[in-house]
Amino acid sequence: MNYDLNDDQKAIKENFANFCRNEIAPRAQLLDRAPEHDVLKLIRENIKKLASIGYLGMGHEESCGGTNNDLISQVVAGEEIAKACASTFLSCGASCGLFGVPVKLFGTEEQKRKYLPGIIAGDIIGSFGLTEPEAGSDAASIRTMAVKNGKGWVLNGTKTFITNGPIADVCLVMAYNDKNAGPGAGVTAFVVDAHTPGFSVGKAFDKLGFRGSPTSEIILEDCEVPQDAVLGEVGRGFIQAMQTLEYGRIGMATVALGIAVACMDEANKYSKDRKAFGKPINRYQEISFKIADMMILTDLSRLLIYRAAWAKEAKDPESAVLASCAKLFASEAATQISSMALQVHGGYGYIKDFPVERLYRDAKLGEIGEGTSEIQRILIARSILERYCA
Amino acid sequence: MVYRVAYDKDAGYPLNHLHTSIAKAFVGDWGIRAASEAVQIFGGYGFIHEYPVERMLRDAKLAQIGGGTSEVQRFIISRLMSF
Repeated sequence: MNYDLNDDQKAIKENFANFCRNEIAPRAQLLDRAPEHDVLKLIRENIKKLASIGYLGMGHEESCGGTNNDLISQVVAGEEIAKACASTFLSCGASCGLFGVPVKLFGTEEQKRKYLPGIIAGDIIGSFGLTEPEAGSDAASIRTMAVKNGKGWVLNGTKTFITNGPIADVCLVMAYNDKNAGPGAGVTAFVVDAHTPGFSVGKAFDKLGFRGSPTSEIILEDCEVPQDAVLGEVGRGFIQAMQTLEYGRIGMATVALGIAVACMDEANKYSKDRKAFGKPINRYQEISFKIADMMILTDLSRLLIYRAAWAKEAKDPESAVLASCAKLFASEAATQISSMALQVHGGYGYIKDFPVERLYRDAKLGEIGEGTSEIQRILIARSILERYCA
Repeated sequence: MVYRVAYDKDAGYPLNHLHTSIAKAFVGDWGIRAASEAVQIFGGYGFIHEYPVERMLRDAKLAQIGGGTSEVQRFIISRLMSF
């Protein structure tokens, strides 16, 4: 067991921290408040910026232009990005992670060659289409159908809450090809180009937080895709999606961690300068104990995420439940921390002049995206109960 | 967190007060919360001597007091961070 980052990981942390401080953080406020058409342009630029320093290729093979870094290195870099701008982290993650990872893990050589170099270079943007208006936590109840025709498949259905929907060039769409076979054998994942006739994108949702990362519906109306749009094999789509979400949960935990660290920084800066009753407010226990609690929760979040990433790398059979633990804890910690940080700012925390207002809104997504806290508790409890029932 | 404190020691690092106080504060506070939940799951049986959880709840309280109270740990953490 080792609690130290290695020299490579330390260098990654420093490089990303410097880059994000100069290139990403100064645009976070702008991205949060920009009107929709500006957001689409700004977020594309941010994805391209991070591609330029190799972030989108960290989890990908060298043959596709990636650098094949370990998962902990990706978390280390991701924390710095999320700390600078959570929206940018989310859009990058949906492209190189939620789209890129299943293509890497399950795609054919041809699919990898066709999509991954562009994703890694930030030239094309990916998205992941599982959730539907009536199938969120209960993802097996998706209604999108794929029917085989002579040349390929015809897709019909509606996907919702799709991160990158409005900017994505390509979407991984999960659809039932055989409803009777159930989710384990009857769902297939299709790689669908956004310009395919019958593929349309809804208006970007007006969200509470993560306003810099556009989210929309995707509508499939007699959308015809060729046979080679099938990701890997027919009937494997649900399992592929669930395995992808394990990475997604580590990602969502990382974004929560980045937000928490940013909140702590802001609370520290503010409480050091702000005076009340003749001394800085961080000299009062009411404030300093909040700062201590923020530190405790942030530190434990980071340890849980590293452990989940470590377990995944080591192919530990517990890795899925450890990813759920990390995601659950880090996201609930981030909402608490953002609330404490806002409270430390008093009235100034409630206005948009200080970043903590945006961080407070952004934090909430962690408890919802990639499986709600309730779903994580179900998964964790099930895993423990199975051990006692065996 | 507790393992990390042990790791620091084994690796020969100087005592990391931040790591030790974070571990002590969190684990000390969490213990009594977990014990209280366990008593609750047992219902009335959790409140009587026949089952071990009532002892665990009583024992857990010491971890918030001994070796520096939870408050002192928070005091140490905030000093290390803020000044």
